[in-house]
Amino acid sequence: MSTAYPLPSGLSPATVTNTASLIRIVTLALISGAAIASRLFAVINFESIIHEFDPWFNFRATKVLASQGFYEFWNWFDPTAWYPLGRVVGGTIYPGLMATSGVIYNILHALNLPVDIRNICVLLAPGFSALTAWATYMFTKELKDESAGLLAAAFIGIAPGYISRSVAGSYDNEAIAIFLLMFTFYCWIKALKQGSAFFGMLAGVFYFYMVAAWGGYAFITNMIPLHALILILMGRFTSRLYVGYSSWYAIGTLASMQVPFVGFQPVKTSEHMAALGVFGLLQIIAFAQLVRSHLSSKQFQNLLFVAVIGTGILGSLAIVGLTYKGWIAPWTGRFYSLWDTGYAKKYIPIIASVSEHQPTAWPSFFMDLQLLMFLFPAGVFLCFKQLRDEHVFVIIYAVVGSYFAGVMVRLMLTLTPVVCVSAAVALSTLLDTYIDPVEPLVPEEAAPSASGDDSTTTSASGSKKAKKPAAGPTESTTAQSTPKPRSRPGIFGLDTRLVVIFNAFGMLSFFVFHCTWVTSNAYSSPSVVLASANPDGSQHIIDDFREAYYWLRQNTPETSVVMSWWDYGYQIAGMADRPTLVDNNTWNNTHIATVGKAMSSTEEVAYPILRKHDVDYVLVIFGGLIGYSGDDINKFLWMVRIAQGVWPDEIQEPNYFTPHGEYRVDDQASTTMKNSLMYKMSYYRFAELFGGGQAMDRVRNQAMPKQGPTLDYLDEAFTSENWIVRIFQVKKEDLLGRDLKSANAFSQGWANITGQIALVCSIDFTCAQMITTAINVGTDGNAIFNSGQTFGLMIAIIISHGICCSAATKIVARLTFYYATVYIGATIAAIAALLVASRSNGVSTADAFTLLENNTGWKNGTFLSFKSHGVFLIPLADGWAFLLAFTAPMWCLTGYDAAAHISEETAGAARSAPIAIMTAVIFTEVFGWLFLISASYATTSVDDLLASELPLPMGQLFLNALGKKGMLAIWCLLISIQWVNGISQGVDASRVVFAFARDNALPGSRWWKQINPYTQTPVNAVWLVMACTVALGLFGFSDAALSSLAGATVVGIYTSYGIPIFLRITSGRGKLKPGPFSLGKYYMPIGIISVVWIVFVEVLLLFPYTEAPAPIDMNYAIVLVAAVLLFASGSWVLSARKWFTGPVPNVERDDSDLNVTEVEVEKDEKL
Amino acid sequence: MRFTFLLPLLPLCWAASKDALNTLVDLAAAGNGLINLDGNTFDLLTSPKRNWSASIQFTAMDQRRRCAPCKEFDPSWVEVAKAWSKTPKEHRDQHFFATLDFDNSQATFQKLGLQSAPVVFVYPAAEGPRQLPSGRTTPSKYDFSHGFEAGPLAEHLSNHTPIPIPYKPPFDYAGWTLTAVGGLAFLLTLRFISPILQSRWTWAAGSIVTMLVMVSGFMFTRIRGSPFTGGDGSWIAAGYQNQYGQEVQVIAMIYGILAATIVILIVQTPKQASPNRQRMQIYAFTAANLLVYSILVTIFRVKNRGYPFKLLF
Repeated sequence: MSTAYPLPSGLSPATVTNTASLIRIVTLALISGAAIASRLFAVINFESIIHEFDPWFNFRATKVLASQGFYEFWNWFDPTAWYPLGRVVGGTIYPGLMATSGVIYNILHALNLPVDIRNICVLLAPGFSALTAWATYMFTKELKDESAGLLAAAFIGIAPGYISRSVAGSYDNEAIAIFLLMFTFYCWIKALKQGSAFFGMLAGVFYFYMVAAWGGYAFITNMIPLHALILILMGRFTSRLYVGYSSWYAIGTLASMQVPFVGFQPVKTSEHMAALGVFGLLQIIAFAQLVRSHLSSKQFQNLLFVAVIGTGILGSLAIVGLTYKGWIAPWTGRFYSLWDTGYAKKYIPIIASVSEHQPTAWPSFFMDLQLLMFLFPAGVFLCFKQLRDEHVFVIIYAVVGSYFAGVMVRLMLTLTPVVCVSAAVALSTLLDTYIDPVEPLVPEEAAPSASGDDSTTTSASGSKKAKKPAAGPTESTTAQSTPKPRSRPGIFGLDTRLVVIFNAFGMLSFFVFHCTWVTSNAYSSPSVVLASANPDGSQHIIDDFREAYYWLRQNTPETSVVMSWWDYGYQIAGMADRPTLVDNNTWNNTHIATVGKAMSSTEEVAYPILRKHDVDYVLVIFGGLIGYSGDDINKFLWMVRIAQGVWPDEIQEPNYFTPHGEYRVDDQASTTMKNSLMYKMSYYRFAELFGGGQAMDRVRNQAMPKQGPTLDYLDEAFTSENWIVRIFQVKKEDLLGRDLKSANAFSQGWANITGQIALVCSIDFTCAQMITTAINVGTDGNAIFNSGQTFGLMIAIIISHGICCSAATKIVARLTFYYATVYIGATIAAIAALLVASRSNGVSTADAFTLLENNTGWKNGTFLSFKSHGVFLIPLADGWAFLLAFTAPMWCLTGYDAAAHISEETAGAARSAPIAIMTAVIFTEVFGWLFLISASYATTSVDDLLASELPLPMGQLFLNALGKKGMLAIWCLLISIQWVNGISQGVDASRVVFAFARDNALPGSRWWKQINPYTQTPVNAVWLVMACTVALGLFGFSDAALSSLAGATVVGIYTSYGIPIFLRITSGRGKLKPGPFSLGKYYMPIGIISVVWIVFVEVLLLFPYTEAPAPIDMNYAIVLVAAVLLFASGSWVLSARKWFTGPVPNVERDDSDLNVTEVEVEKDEKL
Repeated sequence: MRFTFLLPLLPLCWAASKDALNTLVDLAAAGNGLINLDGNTFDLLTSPKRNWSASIQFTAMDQRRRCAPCKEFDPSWVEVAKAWSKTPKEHRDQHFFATLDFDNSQATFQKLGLQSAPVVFVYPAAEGPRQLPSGRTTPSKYDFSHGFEAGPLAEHLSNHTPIPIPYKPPFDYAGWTLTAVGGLAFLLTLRFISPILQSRWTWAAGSIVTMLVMVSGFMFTRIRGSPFTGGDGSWIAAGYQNQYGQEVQVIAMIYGILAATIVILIVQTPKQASPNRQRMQIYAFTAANLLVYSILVTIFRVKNRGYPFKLLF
């Protein structure tokens, strides 16, 4: 006998066997290592993190199991999911995965290995992939031999089709299910081959584990009966089949019913009927066989045959009847959609909407299995060649598996094992044939025997043949089935062997490269963290999801309900720990449709839905900026479809397309589309990001209109770095309802704006007057300014203020910081100086506190005589004058809302703004009061002061008390304070104007709302304010006009303070959700006092200063206020209610995200 | 039209509306359950004071309009309308089926802003007990994503009719006859074909062809309704998640050839008794394997542009 290459001789068979088994064990260990290692790309490229969506829930459940024990887990009711329904978790999940992790966790901790539960969860899938490789090895070994087994193990270890669901972090049911699937099949084959009840029972136990772990167990439930049925049809009924099947079915079914989620399904639903039916059929056939073996009458056997057939038919009729009567549930939608592929889209869009339920195009097959794809049919062919019972199983599995994988991308996973097995059979047969060193005899020498190879081969296949001579004859029988006798087939020569082997190894190494590339590029993205490449090729991590979820976790109350599309429910629960409306456990279609309806309706329709479900935040995923294609706009049609399924009257899919049937988001988008909540939230302020350039949606490659959507009922709360996650806060119901809300905001804004501008004017005018006073005193009364000159001075001051207000907020802040110290110092100095001076030259304490001098024009009046009490014997006129004096403090106590107006530029505004306001109030209160006291002490004669030549009587007071030098010193300080005061008021007014313009509530808002890119301040608004101030300054030419203006100012501002307070204590009681800082229960008394005071003071402010005013000294405040409010109301009635929608917040954000423009997100299509 | 003289009186009062209803009932009866509309009768049918509802098909059946979908959809529409005309009178007179042809009233098409046909609008009742709870009186559009078949059409329109439309798909005589004849023929020839049926290679061929077709994306093209080739004559669809019908054939064939080379190398060549012929076969089939595999990879690179590997070309 000749060999193609020399073989070592003299090796004992034991050495060969031992070496071969050692090599096998080492190879298997290496394969396991490779399987685990190739799944760690995700951990190496990113971090040890749970992936995608469902794993987040599994992880959360596992944490409950690990921390609270199994019984708590079993009874776990999760009130935060499916808000407000909640979810009974214990009874609605397959607990196998969590239980596995829990057991591993407890074992490790019992061994004093404190491994974090998260790391167990992350690494569970790679660990089980090693077990899968082993199970596949065992399975294939039954099919062919060890060498094929090793190949199959290697294939399944690195095939992307399986890796896609089992990378580190992919903590999903499939992670352990494929191992269970393969091992159950192995046990089944073993039970069938040996007729072993032990292996049948083992198959049953692992089937139970599988049932507990994955809904896909139905695949086993139907594969094994199908195999058994076909074997019966092929006339291969044996007692081995009977024993194997019966033990598997009985134990497996009884055990599977222990899983609460499965319950009595195995005897009640159609999916399980095949297993039950075949079980019954086997009993009948076994009985028939038994009877036949005891009888010999041919007629009786015929009769029996008929009876068997009849019973079978009756049995199936019974099943059909029971199904028809409803005793047995018909096929559930998920399974039914596998047969009638159009079913899901029509009737259960929620299933059809999942991307992993889409049909598979051929590139996916090639991507996932590559080389195996064409070895697979070759392997099936070889199975047909042998066609033992286990080969029949592989063939059935192959045909059924390829159909299922073609229908659903997800089921590629169940196809992968059989492809690996059958490809391994093909390739190992090829290698066996070409490695085999035995050369066939040349035909002329016709030698019949091929027995010489039994002892001396080194290859694994050779050693196997040595061990198991049974397999050899089977093959040779098949091969030699051709009738004419000829030599043993084989390969001639070495080069022929080498070329085939070289080709095979080339293909295998290509396969390894392919798998590595696919795994690292396509399947290792956690999809929670996305990777992209910078222009220079380095990796850029996009971490928007976690950024947003952690924002929710850290910035919202724990009870805030977050609404999002169901895809993100598990992630929000897992990472943000907030209640969600819907999540990936899609058990309640109506609830999901409700969310779909809210997303696809207009704001007006959606708002009541949101409010009814206590939604605080709405979260949308938007990929338009960086081109992340899995965003909500691309999923939007499914939301529409699902909502349409429940509300066909209100939501209609065609409305979301253009008249030409296109799905567009740009100018041509349909009105329904543009008004839908989802569209508005996605594109809200999107165009602004491009700073006037053409806004582009990079997912849909459409140019967005410059004027983006506006939101009335939601506030933008958070947008992540790359705009992938956007969170919107649902506004609380307004105190007076929607329309009034807008109206109120409108009139409140106008009142405020009037007051703010007038205040700037009065401050600047006073400042100018203070300067003229100082000059007057400094020149000893020689330089007296007339109105025109004062006005000129005021314009100069206004311009200086304009420049300062245009400067960046940072500079203004620095200035006002210094101002605060100077202010406090100067006020204290002035108070102290006046008090000190008044000790030598002042009035007595009694006079200072009680003396009433009436210098108003209200001189006449009758006495009020409440004789019985005798206390109120005050002249009416003087009493009135006393009341009018209340208006004086109002000038001081104004403008403390400045802090609120610039709150959008402040950090932590919700808390710091009210504190700032309160501090301002207290500070003004205390120092104002002290100052007035000291001024009263220093005032010897009011008449003298009023008779002063100086424009400001207060200057005279200081002059009298402190002398010229002392007065000028303090006065200059006060001027500087007044000047800085003007700046801060100017900033304040300009921000109010800007805010109002941003809401499009001013004529020409387009200009006023622009922000200067260099200073980052609303420069246009500043100069608008200054221009108005100058115009108002013209009133300074008339005293009456000036005091009217001042009155109007205070009335305007106080009205704007009063409206919200009034609403708060009346119709809005209980509607306000307290912020981080609140007055608590004291809001009511404080509110009542405030409103009463405001009404009281405003009435006083509108009164003229004399009893019978001439036109020259009339208080025209009432006219001004009335004019403004009339104009505003008229404007509202005429047009604003059409476009004014209330305040638009403008949370500053960093625009650095524009740097990542060329980012292309590589995302696996599997969601 | 016989009834046009009534038209000027129509919207005036309730009584007139009764007349309108009678007019419509007569029109429907005359058209076998389907009203053939023109501009006037359209206004009558969709009068703002209607206490009935209506389903209206806007179509363009004229040859000149070349509206193939219209012709495809029209029979379904007529069938469903006919089914509705069989309902009891008290229900039948509350909902009308109508067809408005483009050539009968172009003005109506313009008024409604319709740019394509066929379109089905369902007008809800604007008054009376059958008014929608939401108060909507504007029409809703039927979604053709369910296809042009009468079954889903009847099912969806039943949401808007007083009682469900009693539409039953016509009995498929041809299909059943064919099945029966086929089954009979199978039984008759069973004796002759049973050797074929019992041959494992028949089953092998069947199984392997099924598998090849399935893994080449056949179900994808079935479910998505992909065309056989692209509109521009290309046979490879752009994009990783997309494919044309012809790709199924090409890819299945490539897989088949590759599998065949392997099978031949395993089964056939070792049986070759002549060393030289065997050597030639081995070289030829290995080369074929490599070559076809390279072609497959090249095609895959067209589908997945980011794929970094290639073989021969």
